Amino acid sequence: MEDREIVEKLFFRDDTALEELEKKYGSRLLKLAGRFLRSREDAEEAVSDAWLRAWNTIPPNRPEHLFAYLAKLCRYAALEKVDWLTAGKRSAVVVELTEELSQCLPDPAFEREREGREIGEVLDDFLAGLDREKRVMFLRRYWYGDPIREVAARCGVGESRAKTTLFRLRRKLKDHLEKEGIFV
Amino acid sequence: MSGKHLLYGINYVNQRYIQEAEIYVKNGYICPSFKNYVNKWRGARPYFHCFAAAACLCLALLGVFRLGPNPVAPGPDGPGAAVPPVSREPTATQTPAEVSQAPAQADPLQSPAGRQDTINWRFVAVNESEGLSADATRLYMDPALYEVEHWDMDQVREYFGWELAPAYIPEGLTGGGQGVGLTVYRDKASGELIEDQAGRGFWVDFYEDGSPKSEDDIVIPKGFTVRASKLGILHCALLPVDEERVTQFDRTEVTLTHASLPYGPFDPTQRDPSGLYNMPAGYYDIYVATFTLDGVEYEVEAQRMELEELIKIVASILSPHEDITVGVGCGMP
Repeated sequence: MEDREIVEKLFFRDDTALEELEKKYGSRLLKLAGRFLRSREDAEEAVSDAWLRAWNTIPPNRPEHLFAYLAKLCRYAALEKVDWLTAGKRSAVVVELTEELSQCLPDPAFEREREGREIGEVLDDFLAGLDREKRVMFLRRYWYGDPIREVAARCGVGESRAKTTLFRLRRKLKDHLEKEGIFV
Repeated sequence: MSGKHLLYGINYVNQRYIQEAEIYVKNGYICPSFKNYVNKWRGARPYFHCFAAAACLCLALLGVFRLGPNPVAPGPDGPGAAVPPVSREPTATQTPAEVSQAPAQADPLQSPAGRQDTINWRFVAVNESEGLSADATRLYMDPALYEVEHWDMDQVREYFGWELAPAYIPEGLTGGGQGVGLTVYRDKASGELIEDQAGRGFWVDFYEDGSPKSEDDIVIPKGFTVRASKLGILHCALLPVDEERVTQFDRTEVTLTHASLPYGPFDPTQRDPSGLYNMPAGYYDIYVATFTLDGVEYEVEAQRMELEELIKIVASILSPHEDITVGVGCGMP
C-alpha cells in the first residue's frame, strides 16, 4: 500500500493503517531501534511506541516522507528508552536528587525538545553544506546508528575511507557548532 | 553540551535528509559494460571515470598497434556463453560517464577476453537479511509418492547447459575433485519432475567423504555453492527481506543479500547483544546472489568471503567470456 493511502487511513482513524505500517516498516524500524537498544524486547517496545505516537500525531501532521517521520519517532522512543535504562543503573541517591532538582525546571521534556530543535536547525545548516554522499554517510552513522562497515558498503567506499571521511566531518561539525556558539 | 545532546539533537534534522539517507543506492545498478572487474577507483567522481575511459581507449589502441591483436582464447562453457552481445544503448538509469566507459560493441581490435569494464560499488545494492531461513532444510519426499533419480555429470550438463562451475573461482577454493550430481524427484502418478535442484560447492578444504572442511579454528568453512533449478529453488538460504533491492547486471537482475551469523562454540552463561542466542565465539558473513538466466533459477551462496568475490563469481556465470581482473582496469595501474 502506498504511503499516501496509509496516511489517509490514519486521517480517517482507520486502525488497519497500523497493520499496514507494521507490515511495511515494522522490521526496518525494529532494526533501527535495535541499533540503540540491546534487547529485542526493548526495541519492540520502542517500535510500538512509535506506532502510538504516529497514531496520535497524524492528524494533524501529514508527513511528506512517511518512513522518515516514523523513523524519527522510533529513534526518539529508543533514545528515551536508553535514558530510562541508564537511569536504572545510576545510584538511587543520584536519581533521587536529580528528580528533586528537575522539579525546578519548567518541563524537562519541553526543555529537551526546545534544545533538540535548536541543535537540529544548526545541523540542518551543516548538512545542507555537504555533498550528498557525505551527508548520507554522516546520517547513516549518527542518525541510523549503522556500523562503519555498512556505511562504507552503502556509499560504495572502503571502510578506511569511510572512517576518514567521518573523522573530517566531525571536525567540520565541531567548527560549525563553534561558529554558531555551541561548544561541545 | 555533550555528545549525547548532539545524538538527541540530530533527531530534529530535516526529514528530507533522513529519507535521502534511507533510499540512497535504492536501485542497485551495474554499468552494462559490466562485470569483469571491480573498479579500483570505486566511489570516484564521474569525471574521473571519463579520464579512466579515455586512458583505457588510448592504451588499448596503443597495445593493438604495437603488439597486434591477441589470439582469441576459447571461452569456458557456461550459461552466459550463449548470451547475445551486450547492448551499448544507454538505459534510463545509466549516466553518460558509464556509457562512455562501455567499450564499443564487438570491437574488432580487442578480443573478448581483453575487455575491461567497471562495476561501480555505488550501484551495488545489498539487502540485509535477519538470518538463515527455515526453508533451507530440505523437504521430506515420501518414496511412496515420489520417484528418486540420480543424474550424473553428463545429464546435468545436458539439462542445465553447463556443469555449474563458474569461470571465476577465487584462489584457494576447489571443487574437491568432485563433479556435480543431481538428485531429482518425479511424481509417480504423473511422471512430472517436481524437484530438480542441483548444487555444486567450492571450498577451501574437504573431508574424505567430500563434505566441506574448515582450514582454521573457525568451524564454518570458507567457500561458495552454486545452486540451480529450472523449477525454482525451493530451499532458500536466507530469510526474505521486506523490500528487496536488485542490482542490475546488464539485463539480468541480481538480488544480493547479506546476513551476519553467529558461529560456535556458544557460551551458555551469556547471551549475545540481540538476546536471541547464547554468546557465540564470533560472527561470519554470508552473502547470497539470486538471479534467473535462460529459464534457470540460480542461487550462489558464499560464506566467509568478501562481497567483491561473490560479484566476480556471479559476473563470470553471466558472462564467462569476459576476463576478470580485480583492481586493475582501463589501463590504470
